[in-house]
Formats: sequence, C-alpha cells, structure tokens
Amino acid sequence: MTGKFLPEFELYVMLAVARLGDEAYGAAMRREIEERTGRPVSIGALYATLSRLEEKGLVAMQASDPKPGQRGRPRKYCRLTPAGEEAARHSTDMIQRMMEGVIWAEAPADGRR
Amino acid sequence: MTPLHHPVPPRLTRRLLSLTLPRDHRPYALADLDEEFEARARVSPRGARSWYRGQVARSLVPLVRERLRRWGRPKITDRTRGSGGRGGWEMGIQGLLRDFSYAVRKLSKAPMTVLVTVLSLGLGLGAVTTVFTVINGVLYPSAGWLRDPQRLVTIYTTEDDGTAWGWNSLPDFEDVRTAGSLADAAAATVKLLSLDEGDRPVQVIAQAVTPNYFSVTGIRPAQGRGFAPDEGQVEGGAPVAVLSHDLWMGSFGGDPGILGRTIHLGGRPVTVVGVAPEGVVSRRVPVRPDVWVPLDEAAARTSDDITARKAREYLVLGRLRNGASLEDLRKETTVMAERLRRDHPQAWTDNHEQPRKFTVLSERDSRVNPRAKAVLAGISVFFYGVTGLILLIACANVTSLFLVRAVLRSREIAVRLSLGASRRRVVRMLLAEGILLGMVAGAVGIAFAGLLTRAMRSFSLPINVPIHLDFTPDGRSYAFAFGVALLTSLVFSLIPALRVSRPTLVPALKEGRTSWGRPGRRFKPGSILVAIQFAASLVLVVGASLFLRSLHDATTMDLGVDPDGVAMTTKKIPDGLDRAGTVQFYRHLESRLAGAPGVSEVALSRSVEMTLLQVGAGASVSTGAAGEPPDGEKAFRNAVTPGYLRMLGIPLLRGRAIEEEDGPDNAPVAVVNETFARRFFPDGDVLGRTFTLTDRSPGAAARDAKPLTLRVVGVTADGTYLDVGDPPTPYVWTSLYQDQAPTVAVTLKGASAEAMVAALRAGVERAPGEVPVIPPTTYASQLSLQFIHLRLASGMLGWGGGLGLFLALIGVYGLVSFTVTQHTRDIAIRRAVGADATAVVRGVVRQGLGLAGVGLILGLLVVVPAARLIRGVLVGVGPADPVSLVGGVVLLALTAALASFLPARRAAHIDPMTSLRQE
Repeated sequence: MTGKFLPEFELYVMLAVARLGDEAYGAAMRREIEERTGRPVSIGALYATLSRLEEKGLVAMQASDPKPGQRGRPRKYCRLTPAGEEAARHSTDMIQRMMEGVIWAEAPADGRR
Repeated sequence: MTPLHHPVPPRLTRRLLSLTLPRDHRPYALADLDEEFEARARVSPRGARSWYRGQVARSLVPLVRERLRRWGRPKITDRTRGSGGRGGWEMGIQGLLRDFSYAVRKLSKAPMTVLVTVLSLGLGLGAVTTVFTVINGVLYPSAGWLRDPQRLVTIYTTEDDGTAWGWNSLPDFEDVRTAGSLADAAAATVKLLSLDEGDRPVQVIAQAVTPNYFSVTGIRPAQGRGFAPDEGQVEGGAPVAVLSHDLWMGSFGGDPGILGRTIHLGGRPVTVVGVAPEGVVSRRVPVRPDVWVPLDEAAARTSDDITARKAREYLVLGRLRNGASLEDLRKETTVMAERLRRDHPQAWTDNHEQPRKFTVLSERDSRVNPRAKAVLAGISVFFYGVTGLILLIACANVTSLFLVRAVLRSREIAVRLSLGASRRRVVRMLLAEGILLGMVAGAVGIAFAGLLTRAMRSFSLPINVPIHLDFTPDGRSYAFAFGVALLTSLVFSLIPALRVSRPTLVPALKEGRTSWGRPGRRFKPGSILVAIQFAASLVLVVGASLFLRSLHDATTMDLGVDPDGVAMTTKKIPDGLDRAGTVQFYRHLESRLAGAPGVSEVALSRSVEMTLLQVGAGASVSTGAAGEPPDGEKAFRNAVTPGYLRMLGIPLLRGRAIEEEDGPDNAPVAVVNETFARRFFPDGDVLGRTFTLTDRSPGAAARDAKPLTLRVVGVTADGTYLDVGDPPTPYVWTSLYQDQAPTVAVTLKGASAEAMVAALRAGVERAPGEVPVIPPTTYASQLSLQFIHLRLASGMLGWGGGLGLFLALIGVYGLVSFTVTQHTRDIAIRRAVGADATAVVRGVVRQGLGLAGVGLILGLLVVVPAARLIRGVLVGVGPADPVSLVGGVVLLALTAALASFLPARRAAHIDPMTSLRQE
C-alpha cells in the first residue's frame, strides 16, 4: 500500500473517519467533510467511496442497531483498518513533505518570479 | 395526510436514491440522509426538501459509476449470491450488461448479419431522420435568442382576401402599439440590399426594424449595441447597421475591429454599430437576415394616409405589460380594429367588403406563418409517408433476417432452455442483440441524415434570393433517430425471440430437427414480412413512375412559349426618370443590346411567363358590364415591348400585337388570350372593346398603382403562363411604354441561349450596388424551376423505390434460400423418385412468386388510393395510370423471380443420395 497515492476524496473520507473516531457514521462524515472543505458532498459520493475503500481493505464498516435518540434509524460505523491508517498516514506525510519550502505568491495572477 | 410538524423527504426522490444505492449500504445511507433532512426541516421544511433533492441528484452519478466499476470486477460475494432474475435492480443491470457483452461477442461472429442490418436500417432511419430534421426545422424553429418569449406576441391584420394572417401597415402599427396591455411593440420588414464590399456587390437580406426592435425582442447583440431611439428618424443622418454573425464571419472575415467600421450597404456608407448573436432568424420571411437596419419610418410614410394604411408589409411583435394577458390584448385590439374601421373604412375593408380585424398570437404559435402551416403539414405527411415506407421495408427485411437467425440458433436456445434458463432470460439475450444493432443503425442513420441535410443546404436555385433555411440535425433529431431505432429494433428482435423461445422447441431438440416447432407448418411470419416488403416497394415504385411520367409530360408538353435560344435577366430602371425618360431608357437599352453579335431579337417586359417574376402579376378586370362584382374577376398580366410576343413564339390569332406606336402618349392598348376574350366578352368579338385593369397584388397600394383602361387590339392562342398544369387563365399583355415598370426583364434571342447569356452579361450595365433579381440565365433553366417539385418527388421516390426493391430482393432471396435449406430432404426425396431439375426449379420459383404475389395484391390495394392524394401535382397522368401500375407489378415480379431462381438452381443440383445420407 505504501507505494500508492490515495485519490483526494478518498483521503478526505479517511481523515473524516479518523477525526470522528467512534462517531464516524455516514451523516456525521458527510457533514464533517462538507464543513471542513467547504465543498458540497453528496451522500452517494460518500457511500460510493466507502464501498471502494472497504473493498481495498482500508476501512471496516460495522452496522449497529438503532439506539435511543436515533428515532429507530440504523447506522453503519466506520473505522480505519491498520492498512487504512498506514495508507492515510503515508499520503499525508507525502503531502507534508511536498509542502516543505513551498512559498505561495500573494496574488496568483501576477506572482510569477 | 402528513402532519405539518413531521415533514417527510420527497417520496419519489427517496425511492430513486434507494434504487441506485448498493444493497449493503442502502438502509444506512437512507437513514443518514433522513437524519440530516429532519434537522434541516425544523428550520425550513421547504428548504430541507430542496436540499434532499439536491443530495439525491448529485448522488446518482457517483453511485452508478461505482456500480459499473463493481460489475466490471465482480466479487466472490456477488457470485455466491446466485443469478437468475432474483437480484432485482442490481442483478438486472448486471444481467443486462452481461447480455450486451454477450451480444457483442455473438454478433462479431456474424459480420454479414451486422452489415445487412446496420446498412438497411441505417438507410431507412437516415431517410426518416432527414425528413424529421427538415420538417422540425421548418415547423418548430427554435428562438433561443429571444428574452422571455412567453410575453412576446405577434399581431396580424386581415389580408385582402379575408385570411387572418396578414402583415400590418405602419400607421396601424403606431395605433396598436398604444394598447394598454402592451409594454412596447416593434415593427419589422425585410428587403434586399446590395453589399458592396470586395470585388462584386452581393445581395444581402436586410431586416428593417423600428429602433426598439432589439429591446422588445430581447435580442442582445453579441458585440456593440442595437439601435438608439432616434436612429429610425434620421433623414440624411449617419446611417447605422447591425450585422449578423454569419455576415460578419463571412464577408468581413470576423474582423475584430468591425464596430465603427463603414460598409457600403444599399449604395450608401453605413456604420456598423453591432453584431447579432449567432443563428437569429427573421420571422417576416423564414430567412436569416444578414443585416439589421433601422426602419426609416418617415421615409416609409411618404404617401398619403390611406395609401400608407393599405401598405401592409410589417411584422408587428409586441411585448405584454407585466400582469397583462394575451386575452387582455385581444379584447383591446378588437375594439381598436372597430375604431380603425370607422375612421378608415376604405383601408379597413377587405376584398369581400368585410371589416378587417387584428389577430393576436403568442410568439410561439406564430414562429411559422399560420397560413403556411397547413401546406407544410401536407408536404410533411407526403415525405414522412415515403421515408416511412423505406423504413418499413428495411424493418421487415431485418425482422426476417432475425427470424432466420433465431431458427438457425434454435438448437442453442433449446439447450439453454433445457439447462434451466428462463424464457425471459433467453428473450432478453436475443433482445440485447437487436437493441445493440438498432443503436448502431441509429448512429449510421444520424450520420446519413447529416450528409443528406448538408447536401440540401448546398442546393441552390438559379435565382438571386438567398434563402438559407438551416437543417442541421440537432438534439431533437438525435432523440428521434434513436427513439425510432429502439422501437424498430424491439419489433425485429422481439418477434423472433418470442417465437423461438417457445417451450415446444425442447422436443425439437430431442428429435434432432432445427425447424419450427409444429411440423408441416409453413414459414409464416417470414411470408408476411416479404408480402409487406413487396407491397411497400410497389407503392414506392409506382409513385416514382407517376412522377417521372409527369416530369416527362411536363417537360415535353407545349407550354405556349418557346425557350429556344432565349436568355434573360432583370434590370432596375434608374430612379428619377419621368414617363418619357423611362421610355427613352427602355429604347436605348433595346437598341444597344440589338447591336451585340449574334442577337437576333430583343425585348423588355415587366415579367416573363412562368418565372418567379410572375409572382403578384394578378389584377382584377372590370368591363363595366351590368351586374359584375365590384372588384371584378382576376386576370394575370404582363407589360411588354413590341418584339416580345413574337420572340417567345406566342401565336397571335386576330388583330395585332403590341407595336412601336403604343407609346406613352397614345391610348393604352392590350392583347388578350382566348380565355380572356371568352370569359369577359362572351357576347361577341373582343377587338376594339375596353376594360379596366386594377392591380390588387400585395403592396400595390404602396406602389401607387393606378387602374388602367385598355382597348383590346389583338387576341392570342391560350398558353401556360404561371405554372405547368394550370388550366387556361385569362391573360393580358399591355405595352410597357404605357404600363411602365421600375424593374424590367431583358430577354434576348439568338442562335444559342448560352451566347445570349454572355451578351446580357456584357451588355446590361449595372448601377453601383445593383444586384439583379435574376442574374443572366437561359430561359430554359428558369422554366426548369417549374418542375422542381416533380424532380424532387420523382428523385426521392426513385431512390426510395430502388432501395426498397433492392431490400425486397434480399428479403425474397434470403427467405427462399432458407426454405430451400430447410426442405433439402423433401427436395432430395422428390429428386430420388424421379422429379427432374427443371421441375424443382419451377417449384421453388413458383413459391417465390407466390410470396411476392400476395404483397403485390396488397400493394395494388394501397397504391391507387394513395396516388389519388397526389393527383393535384401530377401532370398528364392519372393516379391509376396503367403503365405505372403494370410496369411496377412486372418489375417487382421479375425481382421476385430472380431472387428465387438462384436458390432454386442450387436446390436442383442437390445430389439426392448425399443429402439423404446426411439426414
């Protein structure tokens, strides 16, 4: 896994899983990504990505029966598998390494040096 | 009913999402969405619902894509779940995709089937799609450049002949624009102007509009601006123009500095102030204007009020005020029309002494002139009929091909059925092949339609009226082609699929036979299909023959004019000449051309018989006799110089022709034809009698045409003057010197018409910017325009009939060779017991002819009533023309005989022993 890059949205989903911990289920993850990135996220895109991640063995999903306060709605909680954690860490590390020494121009239009 | 405090997500939307979600995530994803929906609904139920819809809309693409990806790499769990119609939607789509990939593999092993199907269906679909594209383009033009078109209306004034859809006069427009329910209204008319840029002036279509035209219609120039309010009134001020996108790109090479540039339009310098968006079409006439110029209302109203009110040449578009409805405007204009009728009784009465009215239509309903709609609908039925027949033949052909294919595969299918595949599964498998081929054929059809419509666009007439209708296939055409392709492919694949998957086939497998379930039964559906093909082909072939024979009759019939060695063009007489000056100009032009080499005769005339110059040549006749209607009966007219009648070979029966002495100062004279004499002077000799001719053509009032009292000096034999096939019409020739015209036709006669064309080109001088309505051409080529509809129809039916015949040939050949193969054993036995080869051939050919015979009888029953519908355009032949009918039947019978002879000969050469041993 370590040699591969994760697509951007897959990485966001995995980071959302990591951030939310025990509370990582569909609606919470959708809101988390939408609020943090400021980008509209559809539930369909989220579940399509989760299926893919599950298939790659990067996340594990566990259905739970409705608990009180959920109005009888079932939830599926996600957590990162060890391979998933390793892949997410690897990707973010690479981003951090690539970011080192990057200085952004103030205004992109005339910022050419 | 849902209680208000507990809103629910939109049900259908939720169902749609549920269908798309993967099954293992379905309840959770729906619950997640419900949770968020509920939270939002507490703030705003409506906002929550729209948020929900947005979520679902944006979910569909990623979910479907994920499904397709999963299908490409099925997991173990998917396979263990089992197959066979149980899996609902998910399995359905997977099964379908599997069916299609199976169909691709299967069809790639049968390239001939693919080729024949795709080509024949593709040609049929292409023909129908072309007709659809053209008719759709003409009947339902788009108008995307208009702003808020549902508030736009078109206003018409009653025509002279009493029809409702006439144009309006400028004074009436100024009255109607004051209507309270209109925010504003604009008027527009179309004229031809010369554009003098580059080496030769070209004629462009100008739309002259009131300055508010762009703001009323909401057409926003792509560059620059529309017209300022004062730009309509300037006399001698700086004239301006807005160019069309096409003219800007074409004549000015898309010059980026076009705004502010001075161009030479209509003989004067004009400043370009804007460029219109692409594709804007005028509705005054269905053309794309090349340029818009402000309507000079003051100049357009130089004549007195009555004349101006009678000059009805303007399209009026109105924009409804906010809150006002079409009905409000209709009520208002009804009252207005009554007032106008009181104030201007002469201008507001039609030819039947009925008061005129305003008619208001929504912009949408008036994109095509309502008067033209009925005619177009009739034409479209004809074209759909012809192309529909071609498609029907192609479809029948492909269906029988698929039937044969299904029968040949019955063993494979029987194996599948006996191994437990459901009938539904087998049908779906066969259907997938059909639909796949249908879609490919649809694509071929669209490509074919694209070629045909492009060919149509480049088709041009030998006249200088650049009408370019746009017939590019658009989204509607694509949808149509694929829709029809899907329907036809369902037909040709469903029938064989249902037949061949009948459970009775399993016993057939046991018996080791590969023929139809019930023994001894003829190949019935195939015979019906061949009969349909022959019937449809007969209709096309007979139709083609009728039109070809009409064309032949029309081109060889005595038209009453002799085009040999005659060439013509038009010439505009310079402005500002008085009557004597005009005659001098005519005489000078004639004498100069008479001196050109090879020219034997020269004449000038107002129009030339059977050319487009005849449009509007109608005039009403009054003899002053008691009891005749106030407006008189109609006659057609021409004004000519002395040599004209002789040049065209119009025979004079009595009296004299128009002579030099019939100058502007002498009493006006006329030469009439026999029909005229009979109709208007039935009581005796017409020579020396007088009558009055009043111009009633559109725009005559604006031209200040005065009634003319004429004395008859000669009578000619009847001829055809307007359209081929017309009954004899009353016709009048006056002296051009007495009955002058501002634009004249110049005709020359010599040994060769081509040399005369050259003489006209060299000898007729043009004023700067003058573009002739008819450039120098031979008279014969102008006459041939008369037969254009016959040419078009016979060409179309000829090609269609040929195609149909070819497809029918393949159909019979395929079916007969198939039955021969199926009956190899019977034939072998017959040969073994002593039948000779000739008898076998005769038997098989008889079978083929039998198939065709049923179709031909069916075709004969259809073709005669169908031909009666086109009786009006046939020349010299009746709808039940025996030559066409017998010829068609013989041609098709020969085709059937040929198509069945080939397999028959093969059958006759079967060695009985070999064949029987094989069985």
